[in-house]
Amino acid sequence: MVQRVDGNALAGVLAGWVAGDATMIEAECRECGSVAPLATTIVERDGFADIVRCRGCTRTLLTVLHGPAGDRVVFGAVRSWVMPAGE
Amino acid sequence: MSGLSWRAARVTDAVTATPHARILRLDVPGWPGSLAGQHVDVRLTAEDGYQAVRSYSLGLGGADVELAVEEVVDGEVSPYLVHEVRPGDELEVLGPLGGYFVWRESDPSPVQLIAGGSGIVPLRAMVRARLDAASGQAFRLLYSVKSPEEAIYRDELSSGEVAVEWVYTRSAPPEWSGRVGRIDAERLDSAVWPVADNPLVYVCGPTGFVEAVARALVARGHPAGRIRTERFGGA
Repeated sequence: MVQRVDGNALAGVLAGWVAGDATMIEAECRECGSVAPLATTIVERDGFADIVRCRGCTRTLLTVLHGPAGDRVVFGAVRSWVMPAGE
Repeated sequence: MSGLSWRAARVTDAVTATPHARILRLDVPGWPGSLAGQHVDVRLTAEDGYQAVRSYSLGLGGADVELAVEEVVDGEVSPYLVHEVRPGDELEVLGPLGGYFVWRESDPSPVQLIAGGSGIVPLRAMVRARLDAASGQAFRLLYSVKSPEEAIYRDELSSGEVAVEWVYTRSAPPEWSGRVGRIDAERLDSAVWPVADNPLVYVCGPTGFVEAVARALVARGHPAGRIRTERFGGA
């Protein structure tokens, strides 16, 4: 079953990928230009993947695929991301 | 790497909070302490090696690890945590997690908390942190529940330590003179700090609840940047 949550739920999923708290990363959407913390994105989650969508235009920013060999991140409409100073 | 890793946790206490929710207290060796509003990921491993991970908010900041878990019908993890797990049982936690939906006592803003159902859990951590800090910020809580029996932390929140406005969506206590139904514009106007006070607003609950409340707040003039949201899915 797919759960529609938000980017706060990515904190654990992305904990191994970045230093600091990944949910504070400000992601820029290539499609609509909005810039917002990952915490505020739309996340569609099931046991296999987290699909991370822009809250401005719903385009898929990135997808985290969970597999037996580990996680794989596929980048979509995210143009850039910035970790705010101090995070 | 962020330095986070899965930690062994032992259940020390399991207390019924509502007919569908339990408060679990955990002993987590090496726990670094948490900020009010943070969560943990909980991992359960079956005998055949199958693993399931779910996120649960912490009901307390600081050194204690307390979860309040509400049962999700047909859920894979929550029925076990609400009905089965016993003191002494072990599970794993990753955390503390999340830096966005947190309250810091250094922020002088008045705070408006808005909870739907078990969305109260991280907001209760903020209430406790504010009371412990004695830091003076004005706090208000608007708490929407189906019925009084479904309100996690009901007795504690009714003690008068923080101003609570209750919303009952299905049934209210016998003495209740207000209307029964979902939060509406009238309740938001009467129970939320006015825009002019520039409050920091935290909204937590089921996805539909959070989005409806956040939209209504923005429509009433609250800047989107002053509204922090956390959605946990569900109905």
